Amino acid sequence: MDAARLRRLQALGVLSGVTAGAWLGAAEAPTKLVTLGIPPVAISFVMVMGVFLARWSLPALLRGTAGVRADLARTPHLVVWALLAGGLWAVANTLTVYAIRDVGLAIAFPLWNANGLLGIVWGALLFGELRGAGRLRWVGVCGGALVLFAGAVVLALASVEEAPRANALRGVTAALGAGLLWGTMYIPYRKAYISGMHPLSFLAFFTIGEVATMSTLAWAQLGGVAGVWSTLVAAKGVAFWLLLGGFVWVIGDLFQQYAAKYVGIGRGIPLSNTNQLWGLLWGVFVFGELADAEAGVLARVVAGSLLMAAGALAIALASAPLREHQHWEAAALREARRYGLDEAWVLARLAGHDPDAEHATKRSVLDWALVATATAAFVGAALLAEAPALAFRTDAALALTLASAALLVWCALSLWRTTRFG
Amino acid sequence: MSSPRSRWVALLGDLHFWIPLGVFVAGVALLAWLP
Repeated sequence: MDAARLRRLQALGVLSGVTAGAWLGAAEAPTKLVTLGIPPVAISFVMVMGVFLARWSLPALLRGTAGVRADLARTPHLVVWALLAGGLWAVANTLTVYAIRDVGLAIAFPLWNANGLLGIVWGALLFGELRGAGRLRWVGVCGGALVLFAGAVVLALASVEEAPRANALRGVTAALGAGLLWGTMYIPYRKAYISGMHPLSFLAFFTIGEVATMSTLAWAQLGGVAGVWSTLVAAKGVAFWLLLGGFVWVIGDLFQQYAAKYVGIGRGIPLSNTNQLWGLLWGVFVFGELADAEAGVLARVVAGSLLMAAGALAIALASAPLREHQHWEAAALREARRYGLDEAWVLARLAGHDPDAEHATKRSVLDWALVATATAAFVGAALLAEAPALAFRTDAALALTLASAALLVWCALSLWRTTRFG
Repeated sequence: MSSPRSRWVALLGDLHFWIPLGVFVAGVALLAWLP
């Protein structure tokens, strides 16, 4: 790969990580509209349904399921990793529910957001990330991630003022457990992308793992099939908001996949962890959180935000040089030899080219059926939706939506021009 | 391309498989421990 192409891909990966942060943060907004009284596992379960609908309909629209079949034929073993990643996500997401219950969001969020730091460790240990990068880039990535983490701690402590809760040890364990699971989930991400799998194909099987695990957890905690059904019926008025939250989350996660592909998990995941900053913007400006906050709290919010932005900037500037990228290619070739993959195909995919692009232009009846089904589900849920119980500022919501949409358009155009979404 | 059997044998010897699987099992055990 030449230096110019590498620079373009690195910039693309950084932009994808930042865009992921915006949309993953925005995904919190619809779930805030859900009234109390619904079991947390049920909230997570309906959101995962929205995620599932989006993860199959978006690839069908963008690339066609023929592309997924083509990937499956070349790299069938990666389905195992995709399913594992989905299972890790579902268990981690459920752990966060317990963490919030036992220690509150202020403590829990930064603890599980340490998953970005674990991503750096796995990336360096297992996939050659940061090897040959030079001391300055090590400082930029590791230092930037630590500064980002410090900013997250300051933001979280300023965001929520809560009384000490019982079972702190249990809550901290659950939060750290979520961080461990999410941080380890990035191993399958990186494995898939250095092996040549297309992000849209990976997500198609990832979501099967998500749904299967989440369904099992819901079945176990809500009292079997009858319990799950009665909970869903009781929640029909808010299902649309949760499905919407899941859909928005998928858009953010898709950009996170591209970030993991083009800048690695050591850089891509900390960048997308700026979702906390965006979540704060939605909370403060749309939902009026901190409206009566003291000056000291607001100062901590500003300081935490600046720290997070500084950490993200340090990581963004510490792009991988050619020497490091050669280690990425070496890791990719190891996977190709281990699993009998076409080495030229693997390296082409790592460079953002799609040798199987001809498959991607065909749309089948199945593709349109998937899009139609997802659309019908959203329309049906919208017809049953109740008006949100929370007041929110529509002007601020519109401004944040436009900002997120602008990032999406910019990143999507860049992805198309540089890689044809490869 | 390698045979399907050799591919799955390679998977069973792959640390990239056992680490996430081990963490997943630990996560499920943690969920079972949390009342």
